[in-house]
Amino acid sequence: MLRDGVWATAELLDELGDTLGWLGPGALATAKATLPMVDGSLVLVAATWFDGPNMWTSVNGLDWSPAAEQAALADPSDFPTVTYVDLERIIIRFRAPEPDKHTCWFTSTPCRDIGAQRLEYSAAGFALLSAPLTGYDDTQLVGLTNDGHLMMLGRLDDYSRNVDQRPWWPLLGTTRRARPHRDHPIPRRRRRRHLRRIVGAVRPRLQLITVMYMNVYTAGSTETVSDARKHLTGHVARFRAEGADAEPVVFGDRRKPEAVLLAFETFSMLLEAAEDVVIAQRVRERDAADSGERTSLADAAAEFGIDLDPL
Amino acid sequence: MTARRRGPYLNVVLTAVALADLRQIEKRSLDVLAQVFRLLKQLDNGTLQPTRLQSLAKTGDLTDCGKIVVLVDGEPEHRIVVRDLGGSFQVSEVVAVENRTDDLPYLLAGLRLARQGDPIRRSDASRRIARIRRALDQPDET
Repeated sequence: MLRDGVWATAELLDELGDTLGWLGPGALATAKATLPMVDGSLVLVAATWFDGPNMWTSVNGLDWSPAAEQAALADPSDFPTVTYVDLERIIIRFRAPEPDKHTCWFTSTPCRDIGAQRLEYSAAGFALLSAPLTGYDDTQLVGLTNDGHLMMLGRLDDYSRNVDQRPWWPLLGTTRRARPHRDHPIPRRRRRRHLRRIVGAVRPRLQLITVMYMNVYTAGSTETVSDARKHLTGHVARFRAEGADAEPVVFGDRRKPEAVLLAFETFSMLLEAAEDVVIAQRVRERDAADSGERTSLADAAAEFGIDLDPL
Repeated sequence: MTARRRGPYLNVVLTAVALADLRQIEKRSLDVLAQVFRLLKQLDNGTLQPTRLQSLAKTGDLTDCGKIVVLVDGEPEHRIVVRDLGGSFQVSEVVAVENRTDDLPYLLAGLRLARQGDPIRRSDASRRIARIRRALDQPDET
């Protein structure tokens, strides 16, 4: 499931809106304008947060910190509270038990899986409760790509100060490890350096880092060349999995649509259509070019040097 | 090339595309070309009656046209498609001359005479022609 891909949807952005609302009125609009949206697709979003010297990472309802896993096994009631919102897809929102120390993170699963999810969470001692998202602290939202890379979607760093002056820095970056820091929590000083490496940011004090990631093409969304190169493996995997149904990937320099990646099955189908169009155009041109010019049999024979009389 | 010349052999005229067909045939086989002119001469003097064509979905209505079989030993069969301009093919217009494989000459005639009103069928015929020509290793010309 973690390899199914990361898909941003309108529902996810609505959920993100609760978060982004803290950052000023322009944040959500910026996110919606920049983050591709695909209705009905799967969203796998994780969050990492800092709790003292430790960085915590969770994806799709699973806390990856070994300490949390052990704690959950020992006492499930010590785990974060769970909320679910019944939309087209199920979005499950987790809230840390101590909002001032922890942060919220959320994930989503398809509707068809909610029954299993509910059972799973119930078995783990989770309560499906409604709860507001509060208490963000040094939060990062991370998506998991279908090639197993972590993708940073955003980071909320100490949002409570100078909210109105918060810039929104669109950046790109991935980690090469799907499960960073699981075994080795990073000290604060190294964490900053690590974050800069992750997001490729040169600004050490970014208040918010947003990564716009997509591995599907939607109308109006175009990848950069570096995006396309970076996610090529994921695109190919999606083409392999979805075949002709897979959305093509449009990319180009500065997001200008200049080239397309598409599944070979789609390409094969398009060949016929293209052939159709080209040939039909040629026929139309030829029809239009027919001026009614006619050549007599005698002139035609003369052109080929054939004497008709002895034939 | 197009200057009319008074004299015999005026009951048969060739369209520009039919003339282009003959140029292609000339490259492939002079024997076939000579046989084509032999048959057209017979058509011109009324000693040859083409077989009238039908209205088929893939070609369109070609009932005003006829076919002439071109048989040459050691060469693929060709067909001449002529349109009847004067009744009973007393005056004819050569529409297409081509290898008969997969009804190529009739498909060509239907397209050239715009007998395919449905654009989908028209484009389908165009595709067929292109594929047949590829199979015959002919230039992709319609």
